[in-house]
Amino acid sequence: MSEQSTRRQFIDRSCRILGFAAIGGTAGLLTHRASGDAVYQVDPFKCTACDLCRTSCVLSHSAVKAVNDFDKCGYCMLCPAYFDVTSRPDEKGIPAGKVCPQDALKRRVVGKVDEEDPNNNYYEYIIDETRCDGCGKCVKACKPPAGNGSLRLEIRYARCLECNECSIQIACPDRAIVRLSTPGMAPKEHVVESKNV
Amino acid sequence: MIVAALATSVLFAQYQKAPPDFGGSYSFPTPAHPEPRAYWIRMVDIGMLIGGMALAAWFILKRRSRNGVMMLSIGAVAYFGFYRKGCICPIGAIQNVTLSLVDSRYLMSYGVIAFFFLPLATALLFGRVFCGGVCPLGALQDLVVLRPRKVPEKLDQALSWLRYVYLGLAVLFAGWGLHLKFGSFQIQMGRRFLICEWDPFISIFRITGAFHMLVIGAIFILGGMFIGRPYCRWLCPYGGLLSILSRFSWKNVRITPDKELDCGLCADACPYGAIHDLRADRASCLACARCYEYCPRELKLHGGPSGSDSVVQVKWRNAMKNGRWQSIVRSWTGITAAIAVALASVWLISVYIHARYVTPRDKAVIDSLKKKATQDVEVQKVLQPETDRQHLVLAARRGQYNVGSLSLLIALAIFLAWYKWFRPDRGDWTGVPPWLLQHLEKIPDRSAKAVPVVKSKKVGKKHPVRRFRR
Amino acid sequence: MEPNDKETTQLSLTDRFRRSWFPPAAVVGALGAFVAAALRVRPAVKASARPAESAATPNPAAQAAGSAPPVQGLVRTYAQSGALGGATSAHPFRRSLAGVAVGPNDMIYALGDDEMRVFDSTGNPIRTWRVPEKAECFSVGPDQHVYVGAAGRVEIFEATGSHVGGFAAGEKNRPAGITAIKVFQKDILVADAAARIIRRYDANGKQLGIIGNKSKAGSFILPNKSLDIDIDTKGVIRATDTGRHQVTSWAIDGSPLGSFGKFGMSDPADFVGCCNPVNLALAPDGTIVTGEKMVARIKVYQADGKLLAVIGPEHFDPNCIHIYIAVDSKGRILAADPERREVKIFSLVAKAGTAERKTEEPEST
Repeated sequence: MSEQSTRRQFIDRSCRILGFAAIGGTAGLLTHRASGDAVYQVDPFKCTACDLCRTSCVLSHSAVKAVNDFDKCGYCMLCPAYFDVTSRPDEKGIPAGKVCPQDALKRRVVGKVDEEDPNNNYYEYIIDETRCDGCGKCVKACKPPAGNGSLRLEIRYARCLECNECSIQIACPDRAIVRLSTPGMAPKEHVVESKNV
Repeated sequence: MIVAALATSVLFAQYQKAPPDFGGSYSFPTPAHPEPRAYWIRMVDIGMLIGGMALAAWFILKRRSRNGVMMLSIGAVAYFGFYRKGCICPIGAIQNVTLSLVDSRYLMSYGVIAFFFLPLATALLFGRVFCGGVCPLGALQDLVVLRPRKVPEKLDQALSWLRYVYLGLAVLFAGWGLHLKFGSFQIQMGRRFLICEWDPFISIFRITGAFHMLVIGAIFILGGMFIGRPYCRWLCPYGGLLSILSRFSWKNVRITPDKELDCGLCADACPYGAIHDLRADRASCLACARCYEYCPRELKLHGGPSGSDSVVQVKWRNAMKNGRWQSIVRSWTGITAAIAVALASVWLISVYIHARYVTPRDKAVIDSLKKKATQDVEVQKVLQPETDRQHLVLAARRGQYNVGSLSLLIALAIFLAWYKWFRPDRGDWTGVPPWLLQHLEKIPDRSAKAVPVVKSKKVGKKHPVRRFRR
Repeated sequence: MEPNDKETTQLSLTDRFRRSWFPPAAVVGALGAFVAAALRVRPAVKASARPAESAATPNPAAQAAGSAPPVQGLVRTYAQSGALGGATSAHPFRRSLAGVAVGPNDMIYALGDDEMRVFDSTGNPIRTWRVPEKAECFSVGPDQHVYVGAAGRVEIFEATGSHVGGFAAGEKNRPAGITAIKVFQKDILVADAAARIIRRYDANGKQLGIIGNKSKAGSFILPNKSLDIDIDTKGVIRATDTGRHQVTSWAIDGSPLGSFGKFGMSDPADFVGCCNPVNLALAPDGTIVTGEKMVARIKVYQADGKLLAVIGPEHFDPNCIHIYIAVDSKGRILAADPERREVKIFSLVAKAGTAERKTEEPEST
């Protein structure tokens, strides 16, 4: 009996050591390559605003929202992302139709204001995130040459659950969702953009 | 900022001109780009993992307390489950590790490495303490165990192979995807994280999800009330790895360290069929500490009941047995909670069905109005309030889902707590109609069943280590 | 593994069979069959992903407007008679094309690849010299001096290309966003898109006046952050007011002289989109040539705003955000397409109401 105990203990001990060695070795190898955590973000140069961001997110109200880069925005009165410029204009020359299906793109007049002639004014455009569902129609309409390209889709980290595998990345036909190192960590050169084959 | 780095490029150089002078008083708004979770908070997660496993090991191996393990389970469900939304978990980390080994360009984080390797190392030391008190999926299933049935051993053994099949498929899809070609028949599937996509409990932790995933989660929870921890025993790939390593652990669950009565109460108490020949099977023991709770020797050794069950049972029995109103409350709390769970489920399903019916109709209305609006300014005036109305409907529906889900989960928690601590014993049910009473009387008492003592020849005085199941 | 001898001999065949590898293998086989059956369903789900849209024409409004049928009933017709610097030419522009102008003797000047290239009127290259980076616009004076606008400064080069001077435009704390320069007699007119006005300087950089802020409507509205100007021999300045969709006229002292143009997507005489016309040039016969984006085209107007000709979008890349224009003394229109990096030359071929037909002068380099 004691012989069997010793042999069993020996097997136990050696398997334990083997196990620790395997764990330590693999962990060390991976730590060598590791960096900070990874988050997902939309690459605005690849995104074609195909509307799949709205439906593919695991959240029912997608974490992808449109944002406006104010330094690029033209503050146009006849913003092609706000107005559907192909619709018929009224007597003042302002088109009747709007682009955003949820009415999430809001505007207000800024700067020196001319009350009588709206053509004389600059307008600031802001997106209401409680309404925006990430469909991207405004983003598509703002792309050059029609607009300045200041509207783009962005994953809002206040809403994003940071899933291990972004379901929008799987659905995106343009490989526009990239996986990046978290800010604050030194980024490493190897960043795999989309692992979908 | 990531976004700033992405968004500047030579392509748009023509628009990086100085902003115009708008006149009047206008200053550029600073757009809010919320940052992802801070790095130090991610380190807190690793700390919680280590702390949780240390506490679990202490409660299971040293303190031998079912109470402690249960409190830890509740904490795990709260923190790793509902707060962190079940992500990141070691089960999913299998895929990250696979992908990182296959493709050295894949961005791997320290958190994922810690979450994958630390429970494995702990399994080599202390057994499956991760499964016992820390894993949120396991803790959730553990907390809903009500009337576990015994699964025949051979069936249990056969089903356990599924874990390794799942592990193999997960590794295959995470590293390479599936690319097969047999003549004209071919399959091309890219890399997918199967474990994350088919996690039954993630939709419960996120309180949202695809309809089929919510149904699967509900089935696992309902089934888990009658068959202990089906996902952990038969589907969890990480559990497969842990069970292999746990066989060689340094310290593991031991039943009655000094003298065994061979009464078999522990084997009856174990909901997972992990006790063979009155010893805990290291590979399949999920460290829930129920065997300690029911063992009469624990009473003798530790000078007091280790299970919360007996304490509460004694206290409540003495305090409330004679009061009629208290008895009615005891009986009806659970029944009300069960009805609340059923009603909340029905309400959620009805909201979902209503949404499926109403949403396409609303969309058609808006589309037709929009089409007309491009030609007619008057229609635009009608379109605006319709858009607002639909937005309000959508927001209200989201509110309904939230309220319904929260009330469902709270009612379920109340029901489970009632079932564990508060429910009346047979004969103490009061104020219940007779047609219901006859079913309720079939629920066993909360005290341990008395079982005839069985003297087993196979078991010796020392505890042989059982590594492999026969 | 610790075999218990007693147990093995006591087990029956069926027991040993049941405890062997067969049951798990059967389970695995069943699972495999299930997975294979499920996979047959999967490819159908994947195929519903949308096809990626071509990046060349992403804008549906642009497509809708650009596909309008060609305009009928116009007074003039132009046809392409030559090209410079395109991909198939002898000296193509490789990275950028930022402007085109006509100098004395109809010499053609083109700014691209951080270089100034000078051609004669038939398109033969004469000389090339480097200009500062970020050069966005330029103009040629009657003395063959070239004035280049780059990063808030005007740099002056003489005919051989040597740098002879320069000055900073704009206010001290607010450098000008120079998007166009024109020379009139001794004055240099600088279009400052940041301050939304036109500044008038002498050759030493002293500001002599400001044009564009004296109208009732306020100064220019420039959503595309670019202002283009031109001045005729009588000193009348025309400027693009892109936000208002107008071509505005000013005297050299800054007093407003009128404007024409409006927004519209259907009438060819109107300017499409959010901010048009993006460029303009004045022809020696008094007509105004405008360039538009979104529907990339060139139009010729009479001084009172009547549309005379449309040189349609088929000649230009639909992604252009500018079409730089110059007109030589013979009335040929030179249009620089910055996306295709090519200067196209258009000549008048027909005038309605006259039997005159100009012969084509094919030339290309």
